[in-house]
Parts: sequence; structure tokens; C-alpha cells
Amino acid sequence: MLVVVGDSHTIALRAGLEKLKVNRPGLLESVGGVVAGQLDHGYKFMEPFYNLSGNTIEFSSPRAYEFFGKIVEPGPAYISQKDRRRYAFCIGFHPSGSLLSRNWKDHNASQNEKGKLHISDAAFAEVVRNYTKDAIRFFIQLKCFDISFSVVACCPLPQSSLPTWEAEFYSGAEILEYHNRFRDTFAAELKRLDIKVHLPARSSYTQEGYMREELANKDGDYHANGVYGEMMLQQIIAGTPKVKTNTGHSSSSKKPKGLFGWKSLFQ
Amino acid sequence: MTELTTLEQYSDADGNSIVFPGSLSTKINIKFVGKNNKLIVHPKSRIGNLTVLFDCDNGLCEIGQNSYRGTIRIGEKSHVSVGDGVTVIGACYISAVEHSAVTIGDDCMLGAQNEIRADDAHPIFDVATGERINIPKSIRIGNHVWLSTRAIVLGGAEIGDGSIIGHSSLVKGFIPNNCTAAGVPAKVLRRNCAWERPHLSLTRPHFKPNADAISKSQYWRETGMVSEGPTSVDLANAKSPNPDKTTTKVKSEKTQGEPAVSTVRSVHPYSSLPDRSFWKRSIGTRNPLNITDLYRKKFSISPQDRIVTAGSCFAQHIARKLRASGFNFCDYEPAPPLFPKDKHSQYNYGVYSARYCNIYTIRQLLQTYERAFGLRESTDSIWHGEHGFQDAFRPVVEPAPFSTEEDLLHSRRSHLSAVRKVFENSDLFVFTLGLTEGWVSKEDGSVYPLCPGTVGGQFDKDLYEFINFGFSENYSDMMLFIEHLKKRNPSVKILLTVSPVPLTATKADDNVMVATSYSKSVLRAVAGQVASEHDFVDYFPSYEIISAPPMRGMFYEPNMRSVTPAGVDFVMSHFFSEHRPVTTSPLANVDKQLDSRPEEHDEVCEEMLLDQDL
Repeated sequence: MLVVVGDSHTIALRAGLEKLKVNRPGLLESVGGVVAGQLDHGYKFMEPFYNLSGNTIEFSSPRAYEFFGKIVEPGPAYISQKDRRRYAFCIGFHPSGSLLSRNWKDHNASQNEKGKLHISDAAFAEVVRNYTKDAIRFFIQLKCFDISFSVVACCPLPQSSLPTWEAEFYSGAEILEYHNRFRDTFAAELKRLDIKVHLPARSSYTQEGYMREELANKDGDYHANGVYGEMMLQQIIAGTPKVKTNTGHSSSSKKPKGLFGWKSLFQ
Repeated sequence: MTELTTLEQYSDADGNSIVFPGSLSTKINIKFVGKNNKLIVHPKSRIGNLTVLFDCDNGLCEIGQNSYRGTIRIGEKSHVSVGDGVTVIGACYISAVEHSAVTIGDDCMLGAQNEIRADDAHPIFDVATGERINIPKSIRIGNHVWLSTRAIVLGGAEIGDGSIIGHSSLVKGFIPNNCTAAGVPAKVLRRNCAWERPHLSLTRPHFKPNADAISKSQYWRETGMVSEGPTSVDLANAKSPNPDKTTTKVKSEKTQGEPAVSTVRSVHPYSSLPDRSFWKRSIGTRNPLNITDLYRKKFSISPQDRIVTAGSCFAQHIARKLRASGFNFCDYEPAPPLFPKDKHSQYNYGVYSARYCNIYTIRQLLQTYERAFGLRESTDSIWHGEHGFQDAFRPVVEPAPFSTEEDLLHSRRSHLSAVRKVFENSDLFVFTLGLTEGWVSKEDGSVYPLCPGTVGGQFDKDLYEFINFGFSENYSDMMLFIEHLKKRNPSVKILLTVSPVPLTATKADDNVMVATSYSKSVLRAVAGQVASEHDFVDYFPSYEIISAPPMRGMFYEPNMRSVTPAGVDFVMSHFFSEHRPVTTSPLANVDKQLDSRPEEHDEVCEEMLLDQDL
């Protein structure tokens, strides 16, 4: 079974799942079934959000714990080292509050803006790494458990959502640039950690780099709708190992890397 | 607490130490209760039956080439110094606590059971006000003073060279030189006398009717004639605006049937100088931690004054302390709000007022200015290596090279914009002069902070050459920089310091210690010369405060190069004694929290990278 959970951008994937159940049920069967749902707000994943106890990981907020339990019912409401479910986490990709204008009063959020202080690629990566450190720690822990998982990027930024970010100190182009720079930097960081990432399809972008407005949830919202969700979910399923039988066991043949091998990443 | 029964070289994790090259264990008892205490014993001392008790922190005890015996108790930031040639018949007790000092000069003769105590051992308070009324006072016993058996010297006493204190006397005030004083309290009984060491019956001739029977020591002087000008007590009276006070002093001396001191003293240009003008009084006989008046400000710094800093690595400490003390330290190239705090110094954020990294030479400062204002173009300014691109003028501004040349150029443009603000928008520019040695481009004279090939770039003798800037070059560069700066910012003031941090390595032919001495001497001279010529330029002696002989290297880490946090605090305490910190600033509290991070105490010293390579 493929479990798709995470922040508010999972809502679009959940809507996409409903469409696929009608349009391509066979595709869902190929991975032993799919469940999806939001666990918590995005910013909740930018702070410690799970507990590690022995060989199990539990989401620490009551809301996320409860929702996860309901989504994976009747399976266990935790992730264990023996967990054979496949996961796609929609966590860490949305810049969330870091996108707010006040954080970019004196500094360029993008490479191309002039007149403010520049942040080098390396320094920007430090910002992203610091901002997403709890998500990264979570993913590394999953690697230690040899869990089969991937990480799903949030949707591109619809132009209509720009006012949300209080563009007092920076332009729309800079907001877009920052959003995309954040995405690319975080994706590179995950790639460095050998974690599979699903980025939005090229077809979901306008020429300027925004998300096509017809894929937005509603005007002014920075979330996508079910059409985008269906598109992205197909992409996720295509990248998920297929089940060989109906036992629900993963076909992954990777050998466990063990806790010690990943521990060094914390040091 | 550490208790030692052998006098030998010693140091511990608490910073306590003994400097003594030999090993003596005859009735030795040394106790370190606190931290950062130091016992220095002359290698040729004949010590036996010695107890030294360091009860608190930052105590210092120095015993010269003598045969001292007895007990010495040293409290918080206190200092006991026993000079050379001092002899002790029976156990002597010395005590100095609560920032006080006991200084015994050379060639003194102590009898048995003498007590020299700057303090009363226990506090006494005024019942009405609760104020302490027996604050310890320092004691100064000059050279060639004879304390007879059971003579006691109390806090605040000062005994001039060559004087004699009678049996069981109690000294609590000022006894001039070459006097005989006795009684409780001791009074001057006779002036213009001198004593000599030869024993009456143990040394021939056994009958010594006059001075012909002995050889005279150097301490034969008339009372009131001193070797280095007036004493501090005389000066205090001379400076007193109350004529009655002076009169009282004279009267009290006249009542003893002797002429007033002032009538016999010669007058010369040094007579009216304050204590700070005399080495012995302001430095030589003081606990180095209690040395004061090393710096007097030339101008004031208001809490609103915008302060910017630059210079070699020691300047980072100054920047940090200024910021933590609530001064208006300006950072024109700060870290983004979301940048992790623990990475700031790695990326040179907040280290100085802009991310120019360490500016070691005055030429480098001048060229930084020129580059910021478009007065200088350099052909060799980007070093492309295996891992990316480095700014030749800030090769270690970030822990790794820039990923692309475009990224580097963006960063440089942004940086130079901040540098312009540093020079244009500041009220006080603090610059720490670090080195005279540098590497320059043969093609256009651009000076690099670090030798190409060490941390970036590739060394090519056809492209780069070593230069050791002399006085005239440094002076000219500084004057040109000031001229540039004043044109842009006419009201700016400048505070110059010289870094006390020695060179990591030298390319000059000299030993690195000799090269350091040259480098610092030149820079000190330039700073002094420039400060003397301009009323808007001040010199702050951080170099002297750390490295001068009285400090005995105590503020250097074991590598004898890095300055300890205590040293930085000590330097800045002298600065803040003249420029009062603005402790009420809310920013100060924030920065104090930042300062508590261990990383904040480590300066970013690119020059040390040379050492890794060697």
C-alpha cells in the first residue's frame, strides 16, 4: 500500500486520488492500493514533529497522530522498522512563513534582484537546510529504518497567490524566484541524501514559471486542485515500486543501511 | 583545591600556575583554591619553609632572588611582590586580598615574626550605614628597608628606601626614606640615616665607629631625596586644593623637629608629573591586573554614534564587545533573518561591519576603499579552482568556494555596496592594524589578504611578490585612506589599535618572533604618528595592554599567539573605563546571549590557515 501524507498540499493529492479511483483504479492496485490525507499544517513540519521510541516513529502532535491513524486504518498508527508500506511524504517543500516579505527586507530572496544584499547559493542552502532541518531529520530516520518512501514537492506558486506573502519588501518576480530557489535547493539536499523526490511536471508551469491558474485550488490560494493532484499522484505511483503479489510486502531489494551508517549525517 | 608540597613548574586546568624551573620540597606548601593564580619564583631563590595560599582567583605572587620564608596569603586579584636580595630571619606573614598589593623592594632585611598585611582578615562595618570601613589598602616597602623583629606593617603604609623600623613597631602611614621610625604607631625618630648589613659581632672589624668601617650601599641619601621624583603621597598633598591640608602635613613633620620634605627636594621637569609617568609607581610595583590609566580618550563616543570596525582578527573581539556593551555597532552586511546563528562566523556574518574578512595591512584597507568606490580594478580577482570560485580579496568569506562565477560577482557587488555604507554612514571607524607583510600582484599592485596558493589560487612567482611594508609606506597609505575617507565622510572619527596577536608565519628572513616585533613596531609607530597629527584620530593601546612585559604573557593562550577571552575582557575594561558602555540597550542583552555561544569566542583568523599548510 502507498501512503501519501503530509502538509496542506496533500489535500490536492487526496482529491486527485478520488479522481484516479474512478479514472484509473488499476493504477492504484499496482501499488497495493493508495491512501492519502493531510496530517497537519505545513509549518508544523518545520519544528520537531515526531517521536522516536525504540523501533517506531510516531507523529508527535495529537492531530497528526490521530489523522495518520485514521488514514492508515486498520494498520498501525506508527511507522516501524518492519513497516512494509510505501510512503510519499508531502513535507518540507513549501517555504511557508519563510516566504513572508519581512524576511527579505534587506536581502535578495533571488539571485537576480538587485539593490539588496546578495545571498550566495551556499548561504541560501544553509537557510533552507536550517529551515527544513526537522523534516530532513525525519527522512534520515526513515532511511535508517529502511522504509520505502519518497518526498513530494508542493505545487508551483500560482501568480494569484502573490498578495498572500505581503509583498511589501519584494516583487512578485522575487517571490516566485525565492519559491523556486527554495524548492530546488531542498530537492538538491534530498538528492544528496539519496532520497527520491517528485517535482511538479513541467506542464504545470506557465512560461513565467508560475503554476497554471486552472490548476490552482481557487483564486488567491497557493494550493493546487484535484486536477493537479491527479497528475502528481500518477507521477508518484509511477515512481513507486510495484507489488508482486497481494501480500502487501514491498518489492524493494535494497539492503538496510542500518542506523550507524546514517548516524554520521547527524554529526 | 590543589595543595602542592613541591615548588616546581606547574599548571592546571583552572589556569593556576607556578613558574619555577627548579624543584624544592623543603617545607613547601602551596594551595590553589581558586583559578588563574600565578606564583613566579626567581630560579636562583633559596626558598625553604614557604607557604603560599591563593584563596581566590587571579592572584599573583612574585618572589625574587632571595631567601624568603614564611606565609603569603593572596586574595582576589591581589598581588604580592618580594624583590631581589631580601633576607628573612624568622617566618614572615604577608597578606594581600581584595584587589590590594604588597610590594617589598630589593635588598630588604626582615627580622623575625614580621607581619605585612594590607587587610585585617575580617570585615568591619559602620553600624549606621552598613558600609565597610576597613577596605584593604596596598603597602609599598621600598628598597633596602629593615624591619626589625615583630615589626608590623598595616594597609596603606609606605616606607621609603633605606629606612629602619624599630622592634615591635606598628607602621600604618608614610615613613620617608632613610629614616628610623619606631613605636605604636611608628613615628619618625631620626632622619638622614642609613643602615648596612654587616653584623656587629659576626663581621669584621668588630668595632665599627663610623662609616669608614664598612662599604656604603647605594641607599645613602638624605631624607626626602628620592631617586625618581616625588612619592605619590607628596603629590597628593601638593595637588590638594586645600592649603590647610598641605600645611598640616608640613606641620606634622615639623613637630618631629625635622625640616619639611619639600624643602629638601630638588625641582626638575619630572617633579610635577603624575604617577602614570613613572614606570615604578604606575607599573613596576603594581599588580598588573590593577594597572590603571593606560588609556585616556581623545574624544567621546555617544550611544548614538554609529561605530564600524575592520582590521585583523583581534578587531573581531573589539567589534563583539562593543556590540555586547550596547554601543551602536553597525553591521551593513548582516546575515539574512533566517540564516542559522551557529553558522554566522563561518560565513563572516557579523564579524565586522561588512563581510570584508580580516584586513591585515593598511594597503589592503586602502584598496578595499578604492575598490568599493570604483577607484581600483584588479585583473586577478577571481580564483577558479576545483571546487568553485574564490574572491581573491576574500578567499575564505564562506566555508566553500562560490558555486558559480555569477554567484561570486553578485556577492562582491553586494559586499562593496555594504562597504560604501561602512565608510559613508559611520561616526567612528575602528581599525586594528595587524600586519606589515603581504603579497601583491606584480601586474597592478593589488594586495591579497593571504598568499596566493595557500587557501586559494595558485602561487606563481612571476605574478605575485612578497612585500614587507615599512613605516613610510604604511604611513602614506594610512594618510591617503584618511584623506579619501574624510572627503566622503567629513565628520568621521577614527580609533586605531594594533593587534597584539603575533604573526603565524613570516616570509621575511627573520625568525617569526623578530618579524613580529618589526611588524608591530612599525604599525604602532604609524598609529601613534597619525593619532598625534589629527585630533579626530585616537590610539587605543590594546597591543600594549596584552603584550607589554608587566603582563608576563598571561593573556596569551598556550600557543603564545591567541589572546584569551580574559585578555580581551581586560583590554576592553580599559576601553570601557574611558568610554562607558551603554548597558541598558535592549540590543546589548540580545548580543550578550549571542556572545554566550562558544563559537562567538573564537575569532576567524584566516592567517592561521598558513599554519595548517606548513
